[in-house]
Amino acid sequence: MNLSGWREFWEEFRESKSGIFGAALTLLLILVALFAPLISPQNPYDLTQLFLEDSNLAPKWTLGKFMLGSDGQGRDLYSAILYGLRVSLYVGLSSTAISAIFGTLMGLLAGYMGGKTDAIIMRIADIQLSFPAILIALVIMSLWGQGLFKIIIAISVVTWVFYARTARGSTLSEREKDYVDSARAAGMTSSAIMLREVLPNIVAPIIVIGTVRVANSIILESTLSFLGLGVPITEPSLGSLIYEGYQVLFSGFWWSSVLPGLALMGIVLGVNLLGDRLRDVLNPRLKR
Amino acid sequence: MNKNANKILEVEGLKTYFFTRKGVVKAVDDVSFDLEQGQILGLVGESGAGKSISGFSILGLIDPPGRIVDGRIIFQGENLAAKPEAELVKIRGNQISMVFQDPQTSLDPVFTIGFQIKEALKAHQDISNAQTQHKAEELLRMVGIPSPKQRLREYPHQFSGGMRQRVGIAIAMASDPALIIADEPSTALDVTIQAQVLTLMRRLVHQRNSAMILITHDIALVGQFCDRICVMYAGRLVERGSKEQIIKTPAHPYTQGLIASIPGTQERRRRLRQIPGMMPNLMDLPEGCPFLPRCPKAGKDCTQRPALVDIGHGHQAACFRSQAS
Amino acid sequence: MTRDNEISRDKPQGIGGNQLPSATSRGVLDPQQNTSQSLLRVEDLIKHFMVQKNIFEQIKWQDGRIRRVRQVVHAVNGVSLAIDKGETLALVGESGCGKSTLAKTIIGLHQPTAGSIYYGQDEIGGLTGRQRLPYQRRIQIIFQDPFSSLNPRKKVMEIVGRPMLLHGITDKAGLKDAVLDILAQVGLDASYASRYPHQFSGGQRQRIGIARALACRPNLVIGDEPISALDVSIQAQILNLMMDLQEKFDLTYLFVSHDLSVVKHISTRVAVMYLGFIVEMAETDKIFAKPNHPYTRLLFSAIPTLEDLEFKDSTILEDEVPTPIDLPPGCPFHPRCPYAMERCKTDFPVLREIYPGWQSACHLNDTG
Repeated sequence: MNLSGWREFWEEFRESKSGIFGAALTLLLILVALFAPLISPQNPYDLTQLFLEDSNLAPKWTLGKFMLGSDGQGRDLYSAILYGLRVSLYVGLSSTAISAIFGTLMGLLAGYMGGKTDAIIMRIADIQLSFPAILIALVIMSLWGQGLFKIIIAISVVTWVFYARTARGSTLSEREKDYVDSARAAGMTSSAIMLREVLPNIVAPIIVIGTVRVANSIILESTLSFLGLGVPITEPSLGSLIYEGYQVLFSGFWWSSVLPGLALMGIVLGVNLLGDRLRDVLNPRLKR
Repeated sequence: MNKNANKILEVEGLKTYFFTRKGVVKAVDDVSFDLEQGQILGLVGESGAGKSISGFSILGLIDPPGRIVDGRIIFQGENLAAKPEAELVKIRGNQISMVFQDPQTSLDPVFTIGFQIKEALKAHQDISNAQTQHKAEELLRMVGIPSPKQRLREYPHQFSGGMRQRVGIAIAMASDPALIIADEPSTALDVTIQAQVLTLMRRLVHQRNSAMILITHDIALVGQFCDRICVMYAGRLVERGSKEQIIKTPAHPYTQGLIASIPGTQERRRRLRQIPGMMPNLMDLPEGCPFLPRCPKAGKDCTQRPALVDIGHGHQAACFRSQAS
Repeated sequence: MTRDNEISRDKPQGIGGNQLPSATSRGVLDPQQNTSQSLLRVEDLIKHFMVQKNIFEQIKWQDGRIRRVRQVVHAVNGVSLAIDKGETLALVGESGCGKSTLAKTIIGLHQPTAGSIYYGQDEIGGLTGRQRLPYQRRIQIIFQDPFSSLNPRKKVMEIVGRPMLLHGITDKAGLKDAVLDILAQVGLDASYASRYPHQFSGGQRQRIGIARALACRPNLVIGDEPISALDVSIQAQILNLMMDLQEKFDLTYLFVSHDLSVVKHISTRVAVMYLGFIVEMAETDKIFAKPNHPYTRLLFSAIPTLEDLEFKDSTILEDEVPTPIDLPPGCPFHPRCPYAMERCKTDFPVLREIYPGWQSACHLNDTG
C-alpha cells in the first residue's frame, strides 16, 4: 500500500475510541509477552527455582516476586501469567497465520478454478464445518498427544475453513471483473493471475477475520488446555494455568485461576476490539 | 401548444449544499428555471453537474449531510422549500412524481407489480379495492403493456428493463400528477427501448397537459424530446433557452464545446473538437466562473462569477462573452 | 479457468432448427480473397452458453412435474467477417446481440463452440496457453468500465508494464522507460506511473487501459464500448486519442458500441448484429445513408441526433428485445419486423452480398 493509503487508514481508524483502546491493549500485551523474560521476577519453567513451600501464597500486591501470589506448584503467578501469555499468543498467532494462508489459498483456488476443484474443496470444507470445532480438535489432540506444535496444527486444521469460504466468495466476485479478463487476454497463466492479480484484492476481509480469529484460537487452545489436552504442564499457557488453578479454586485460592483468566480476557477483548474496528475501516474502502 | 399554459413550477436561486467532513460540496449553487404546463424541460449536464440533485431538491429528497440552503421552489403557488416533511410527503407521488434511472432497483422485487401499483393508487386517492384493480389495468394499458390483467400478477423480475421502466412510469402517473421528474429514465435501457419510453412519456405529458423535467447527460435526447433546455456545469446553471436556441446557437462556451465534441456534428474521421481538462472538484471551486480553466474564451474578468445574461427571446447564458455562436 | 457454463468445442448445438451453409459457399468470405489483406478472419463462429451450469440447476418443477431444463444462450450464431489491416470495423447492436461475446471470443476469453478464427493465415480459435501467447500480443482489448478494468491494488507502472515483461517487449532494466514512453503517448504524465487507479478520473483510467493495450504494440485492438462509461466531453478526448494512435501506430480497430454517432464518426465499416447474427455489414457512409436491413433501419431511426430536432412519433416500436435463449424460427427479427412476410417465419435469411462490399440478411432483397 502506498503512503497516502496508510495515512488515510490511520486517520479513519483513530476516530473510534474502542478501536484505539483495543489496539493499545493488544499491543501492550504483545510487548509484555515478548519481553517476559526481562520483566518477570522468576522463570516459571525453571524447576530448580520452585519450592513447594511457596505454593498457593496469596497475592502481595507489591512489586516483585509473588506480586500476584503463587500457584499450586510454587510458581510466581505473575511470571507464569507473562509466560503463559507468551504461549497463548504464540499459539494464537501462528495457528491463525497457518490456517489463514492455507485457507485463503484453498478458497482462491476453489473460487477461481471453479468446476470440480471448487466442488471438492468446498465439500471437504462443508463436511468439516458440520462438526463442532472443539470436537475435531479434541479428537486430534487425544490421538496425537500433547505438544505445542501439535496444538498449533490442530487448531489450524479446525479453522482454515473460515478463511477458505471468505476467500472463495471474494474470489468469485473479483473473477468477474474486467482486470482479470485483461490479465487473461494478456496471456497470464491462471496461477499467476490468482496470486498476483486476485489475491491482493481479497486479503482485506481475510485480515479482519484473522484478527478476530486470533482471539478464538487462543480460547480454543485455552479450552483444550483446560481439558488437559493442550500444552504440556511444564510450559503452561493461560488455559493450563486456569485449569490448574481451578483445581484449588474451591479451597479459597482464587488468584491462581482468576488472574490468568483476566489476562486471557484482556487479550481477547483487545484483539476483538481491534478486529471490529479494522473491519469497519477496511470495508468501505473495498467499495471504492 | 396550450393556450391556458401557466407556470407549474418556478425554481428561484436554489442552493443545495453538502456539509461533509472534508468540506462543503456546493452541489447546486444558485439555479433558477421555470416550467409551464404542457412543457418538457431538459436539465442537461455531465456527471457531477448537479442536475439530479436539483431534481431531488424539488421534492425535498435530500439527506444529510446535504440540505437546501437557499432558494424558493414555487409549485402551484406554494414554496416547497419552506414546507415541512409531513406536507412534502403528501405531494410526493401525488402532484409531483418521480421516475428513476434504474428499473432494476426502483421496483421492489418481492411484491407483484399489481401490488405496487395499487399501493401507489391507494396512497394518495380515496379509492376502493375493486377500483384499484380497474385503474391499475388502465394504467398498464396506457403505458403500452399488453395483457394487463395477467401482468399485474407478475413480479418485477419477469419483466424486461423497458417494461419495468414503463411500470415505473405507470406508478408515477397513477395519481395524475401535475409534474413528473424523470431522472435519467432511459440511460439503463437499450436504444430502441429508450425511444419507446421517452415517446410514451412525451405523449402522456401532452395528453394530460402536465409537465416534465427530464434529467439526462444526453444532449441529443433533450434535443429530440424537450421544449426547453437548461445546461448545468459544476453545480451552476450556465445556459437556458429553447431547444433550438441551445442546440443550434449555443451561447455559453461550455455548451458550445459540448455540442462540438459530439460526433455527428462534424466531418467523419476528423478529430473532434474537445474540451480540455475535467470538471472541477465541487469542494474547492474558485471564486469566479467554474469553467474558467477549460474555457477557450476566458478573459481577465472571468474571475468574477458571471450572472445569467439575457441574449434575447428567452435565451440566457452565464458568460461575459456570451453571444450566440 | 473454465467458466462452468461454457460449452466445449465438441458439442455444437443447433440454432433454432436452422442449418447454415458455410460462409465460403455463400460468398460471404471469398476463399480467393487477399488473405494477406485480412488481419483477422472469423468463419462461421458459434458461441453458446448453458444457462443451467450443472445437473442440480437443470432439474426444475414445471407444469406439475419434475423436468430437466437445458437452456442454451445462443450468444453468437455463425458469424463470419474479415477485418482488413488499417480499417476500423464497428460492431453495433443492442444488449443481447452478441457483440461483446464475439469480441471476447476473438481475443480468447471464451473458447468458440464451433467455427474458426484466423489471424493472418493461422487458425487461433482453439489455441490456449503457450500456443496462444504470440497472438495474444498482437490482439489486445480495451474494456468498457474504467473502474473495474484496472486492478485497484496495482500501481500504474505494474498495470502497464506487466504485459511488456510477459511478452518480452522489454526487460526489467528497460521497463521504466518503456512504460513512461507509452504513458506519454496516451497523454499521461510520468508521475502517474507510481499512483494507484483510484486516484484517477474515469477518463484518465481509460487512458491507462489504452496504454496497457498498446504496451505490446499490437496490430489489432478491440474496443469493447471503450467510451460508453465516460462523460461526453471526455468521450471526445478519448476518441481523438484513439484516432491519433491509430494513425501513429498503424492500428486496426474492432470497435464494439451501441452509440451510433460515435460509430458513424470513427468507423470505416459497420456490422450490425441482432441475436447473435450479423444482419447487415457495409461501409459506414453507405450504410448510414441508406440502411438496408429492417433492423438497421429501426436502430438508426431510434437514435436521437442533433441534426434533426424534429420529434418523430414512432408507433412501430411496441415490442421488446427478445432474449437469445429462445430464438425464433426463420428470420430472428421477424417478430418485430414491420415488413415481415410469411416466408420470414420459416426461412432463415442468409447473409448475402447485395452490392459489392455490402451484405445484408433479408428476404426482401431477394425480390427482383
